[in-house]
Amino acid sequence: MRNLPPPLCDYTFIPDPESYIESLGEPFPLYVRLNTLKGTGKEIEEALRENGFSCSPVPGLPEFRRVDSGSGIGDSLPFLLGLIYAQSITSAMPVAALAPSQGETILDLCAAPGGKTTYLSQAMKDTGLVVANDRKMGRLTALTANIKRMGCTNTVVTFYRGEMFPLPPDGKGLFDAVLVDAPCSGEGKYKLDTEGRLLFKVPGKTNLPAIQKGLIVRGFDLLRPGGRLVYSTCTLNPLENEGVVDYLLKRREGEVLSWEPPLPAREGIPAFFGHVYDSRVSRCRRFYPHEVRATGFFVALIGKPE
Amino acid sequence: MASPSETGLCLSYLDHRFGIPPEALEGHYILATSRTFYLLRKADMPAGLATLSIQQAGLPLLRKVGRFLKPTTCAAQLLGRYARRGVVEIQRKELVSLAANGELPLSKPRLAGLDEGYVLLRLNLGVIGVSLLVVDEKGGRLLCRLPKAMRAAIVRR
Repeated sequence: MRNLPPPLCDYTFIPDPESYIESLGEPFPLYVRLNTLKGTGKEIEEALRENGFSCSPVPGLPEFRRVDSGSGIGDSLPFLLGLIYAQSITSAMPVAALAPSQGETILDLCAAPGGKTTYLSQAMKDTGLVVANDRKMGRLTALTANIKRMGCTNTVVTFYRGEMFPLPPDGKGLFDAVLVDAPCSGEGKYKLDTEGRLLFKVPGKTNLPAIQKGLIVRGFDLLRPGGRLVYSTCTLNPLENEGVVDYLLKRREGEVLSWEPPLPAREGIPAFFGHVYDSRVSRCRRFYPHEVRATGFFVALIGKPE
Repeated sequence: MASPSETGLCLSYLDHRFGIPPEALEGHYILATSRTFYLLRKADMPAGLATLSIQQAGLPLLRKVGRFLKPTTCAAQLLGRYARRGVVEIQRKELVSLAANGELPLSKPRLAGLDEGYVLLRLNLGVIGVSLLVVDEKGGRLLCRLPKAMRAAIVRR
């Protein structure tokens, strides 16, 4: 890791670092989610084929396909008809962990541009209610466009700062499940250019862990007793991942729950840069880009006691 | 929430114009704003949700255009499979021409069973959106009512 620019050079916890470094120079495959609200998997696959895209299945994720050949998917008819959503397979993991059921009431606290929102709606077979919230008005345009394109009628859009999302007057939680896919430094998407410089680095000096801690606590408080929360990011940085979960566990009676993801994953790390985390963070799941050939992700499933 | 008469207006419009039966919208509320009707799935909602300030609820279903109602693109795509009339079958080439030129001539034989006004455009993959059909003594013309971004994508492709 010594050859890498900061902060990656500090990430000695990354397994098989040589493969990781190698993967930083390679593009990820393109994946699409088949929108079964608008057709069967078979029909949509056929539509993709007719439009010049050759796809292959993704083990463990029946609604996803890897696009092996074909170009311009964002202008294609299957896309315009809302039959597909171009989405990283790791981005499906927070929804897989949340395991939404039909008829539930679910909050997606940081919803734009809507990949996970529309996947939640699809997993719920367009029943129940998904509240899709985002704090940035500009991003709501993309969110509502995707909700419309994918044909989700069970979704309402709200515009609150996530950490200030209104608590119900009676103090009881509102939601069966809450997804906090927090804004993050996006290190799971990093690539290196031919001169070894980082690509896709998010500019700015925002104190992301402070924002993330506010979001996870508010998300937890909005859960009904017995509800579940998923906290996820697309970064490798433990301060934005295990550090945030640890913060919640110190302040609320939450429990990190185990779950078995359909993609190769590692446990949460116990300590980083002098911070020793609650041992329960080991039940969190880390998806490394070189092990899944997709954006790196972190997912924690947290239960609220009855 | 739309009033009973507004709900009736939406359901009868979809039924009479496109043959989309009211049952296709079963399990949904119809909501109304000054210019748009929305389709929202019925659900048991916690009372606390009523206090939320909502930016958009469900999908836009119909827009009020002057004295007329126009189906939205997303509603056409979602409900188009139930439509039994008011549908124009088009080929991919014709769709590109419509998107590029803003209109597409329709020969007289293709006008059979169609009334002037809004029609759904169906490709072999399904209904893609809405067009306005204008008929004169020479034949008919479809005026493109697809969203700009969609038109641009179709032309680029």
